[in-house]
Amino acid sequence: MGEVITFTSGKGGVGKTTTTANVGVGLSLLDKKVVLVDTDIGLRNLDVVMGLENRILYNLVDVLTGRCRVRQALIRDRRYPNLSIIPSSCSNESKGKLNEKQMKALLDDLREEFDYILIDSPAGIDEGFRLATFDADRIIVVTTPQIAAIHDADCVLQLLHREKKTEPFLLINCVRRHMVRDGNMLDVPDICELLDAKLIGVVLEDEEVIICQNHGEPVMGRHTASEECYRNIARRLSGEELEIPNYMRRQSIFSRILLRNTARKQV
Amino acid sequence: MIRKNRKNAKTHTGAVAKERLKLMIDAQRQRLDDETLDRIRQEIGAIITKYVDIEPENVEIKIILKDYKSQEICEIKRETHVETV
Repeated sequence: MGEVITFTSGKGGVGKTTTTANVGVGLSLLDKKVVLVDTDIGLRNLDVVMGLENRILYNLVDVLTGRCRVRQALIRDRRYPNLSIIPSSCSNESKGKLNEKQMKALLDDLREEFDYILIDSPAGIDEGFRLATFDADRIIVVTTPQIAAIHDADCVLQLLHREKKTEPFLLINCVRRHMVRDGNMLDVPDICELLDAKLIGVVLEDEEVIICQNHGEPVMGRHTASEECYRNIARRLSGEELEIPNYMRRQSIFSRILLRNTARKQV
Repeated sequence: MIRKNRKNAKTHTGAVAKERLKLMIDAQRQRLDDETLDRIRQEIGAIITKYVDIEPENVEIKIILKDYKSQEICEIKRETHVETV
């Protein structure tokens, strides 16, 4: 029986899609069967980030409205044999016509076949958010250390707490170490103190993410700052007890080289 | 010297952000929802009609929470004129 994990945020542009893609790849590399579902109807991104935009035949709306079978909409990623995605649609004419019953049927189908079903939720807290979260086994609220993102994350968390379905988790994305060091960016403990959710992981700001996405590739397997963060989150989601390292700890050049080498050996 | 001053002025903006967020989040969490306001209105109305010979619909209740963290003012109004107790 698979687990449905939804990535949501309230504010847009905090990295929901990037996180969904990379954590998904991370889980598939742990030999789990993973499917990524893009629920941002009308603004599909997940397939673009993953470089699978040319392989779309059917999309999520087609499945939900019964125009095709689930199997027909699944795109298998040839680079990662355990990974598939269901893209969202480009037009938003179906918006408002989709209901929770259709979504639940799809998720139950996917639960039979996959270990993890990762849902990329749209920004905001209306219809699309509801469709992405109502049947999730776990909800991860993504935020960045920016004031507006934290504010919106709090709104979403309060909303989720009020509904009391599942305990939401917090993921802090795009932490810039040099800014935190200068006191110009909220640090991870500050954000945890403000927000009412358990921390599942921290992802460091990384230019490599943008460079990889230009090619339509996830950052996994690149040995950069964020790659290790995503890998750790995937391991935590798969049930491993893994401490969240203090990323602000000063690292000597020696330990950095050592870390890099051990990371290489693991792959 | 000038450069140093400019740098000082810019540092610790993170603490400013945290303070602002704390105020915003506290305010949001403590905001009275409509349901609670309704209950307050009903209970105060019941007390007034207990001591004063007046129909509930002729009572106007206005609550100002002075020492409220969010400095929010909640008003509850009933139509027709005010009756002082």
